[in-house]
Amino acid sequence: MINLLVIVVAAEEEAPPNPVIPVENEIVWAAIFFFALWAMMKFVLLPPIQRAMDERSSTIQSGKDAADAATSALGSARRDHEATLAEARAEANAILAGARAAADERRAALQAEADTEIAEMRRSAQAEIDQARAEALSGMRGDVSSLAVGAAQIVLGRDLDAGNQQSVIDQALSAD
Amino acid sequence: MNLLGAVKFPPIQNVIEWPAWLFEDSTYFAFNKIAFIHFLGLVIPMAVFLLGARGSGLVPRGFRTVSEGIVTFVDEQIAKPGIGHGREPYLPLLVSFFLFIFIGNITEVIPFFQMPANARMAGPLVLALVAWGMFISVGVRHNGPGYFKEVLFPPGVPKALYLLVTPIEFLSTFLVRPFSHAVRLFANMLAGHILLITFGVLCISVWSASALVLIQIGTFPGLVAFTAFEVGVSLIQAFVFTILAAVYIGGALHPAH
Amino acid sequence: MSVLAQIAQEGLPAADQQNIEAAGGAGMAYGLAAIGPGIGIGYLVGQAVQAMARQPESAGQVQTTMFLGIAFTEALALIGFVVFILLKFV
Repeated sequence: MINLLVIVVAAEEEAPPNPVIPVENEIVWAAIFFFALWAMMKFVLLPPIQRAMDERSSTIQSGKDAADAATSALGSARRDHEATLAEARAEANAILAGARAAADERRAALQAEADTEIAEMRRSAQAEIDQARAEALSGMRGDVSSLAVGAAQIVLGRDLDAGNQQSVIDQALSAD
Repeated sequence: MNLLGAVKFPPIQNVIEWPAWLFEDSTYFAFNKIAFIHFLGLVIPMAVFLLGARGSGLVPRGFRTVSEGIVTFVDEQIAKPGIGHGREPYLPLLVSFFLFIFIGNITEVIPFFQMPANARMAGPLVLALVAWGMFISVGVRHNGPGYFKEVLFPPGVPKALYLLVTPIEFLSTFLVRPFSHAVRLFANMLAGHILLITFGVLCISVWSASALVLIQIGTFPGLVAFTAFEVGVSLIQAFVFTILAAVYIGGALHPAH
Repeated sequence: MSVLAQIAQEGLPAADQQNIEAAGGAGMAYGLAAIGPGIGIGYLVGQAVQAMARQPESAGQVQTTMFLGIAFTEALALIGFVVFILLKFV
């Protein structure tokens, strides 16, 4: 260390160039050019580059956002489409069900009408039958009494006219 | 028998004394090769960025790609780990550091120049002093005068240890830091330059008749390999200087961590 | 060793004893200054590679920190180099 100091002091006395000590003119020029570069970089050179980079990144970002928005729009459109489709399908089902119901109703009405008609016809037929039966019954009563009187005349051997029918019947009945 | 007779190393003055090209009679404005390389360090980034700003469109190409790549690299690899949030105001300084130093370094391997401007102490010293003034001013502006208290008397240290810690912190933060920052760049580039000179001189000596020819036959691959190595060193030193400046600024901006 | 010394003496025919001592001291200074940082950088990079192999997703951060650590460690070797320059050429 002392050796070094001696050498340095000796060097300064003799003033040979020292490789480590900076030289004035080089300091001056280095400072001038560096400060010029710094100022240029700060005010002229760097701002447009940074602006362009920011612009590009914002462009990319906005493009990405637009793509995201388009994707979500596509999704909502698809959902709308599906909703519309479902609605239409439901409407068709409703119409179909309505038509089916109307047809059922109509068929039921027709059937009811036919039923009442049939019942009416059956009732009138029944009435006719009843009437015919009553007529037949009343006709048959006279025939039966005359037949019975005839049969009784044959059995009794007596003429039975209308005046003594009663007495004959009463006699026959009291003889028992 | 003089074994080293064929090997003539140039004197160290060839690296130190550069004849002035302009303003020869001036002490302070003599414009030599080193100043010209620093001038290129101003002009080349300007040209690249101005040509890059001219192009437009969504897809970058040409100079636009180069300039955007540089800005993205400095922002992602240097400013983000070094400073963290709130790094935007310091990006121009860091990009300037990176490009100025890289151009000052890469001339080491470019024909006609063959000299890194940062192998002279002037450039690194100016840059390190700029970084030094920058981090102190950032610390004072963002934390008030309490910045010095925070640095010199770090919280969580026993009171008695301040006798030891405070002088060390003062020395390391405010005195040694700019010099180590500058010397790191300067010494790396000077060492690399001397390495390339050594191999170049040995390489030339291959063609002279000497008993060392058999040894020197390996020096040409060595020269090629070390030239490639110095390209990497140029890039890494620019990166290291810039990220150290970013770390210093970040430490002044967020002194809590 | 003796051959190298002989070469050195032959290469510096006009050098006086002090210059030879300065050259030897310069070489010694740089050689000693390179030991510690050599070990340190080797250890540092080895650990960084291990960290990157264990967590490849944090390789970028590890790399940045590794360069920072190398820069701090290397400073010692570079100060040794500056001392070498001062001893040898001034």
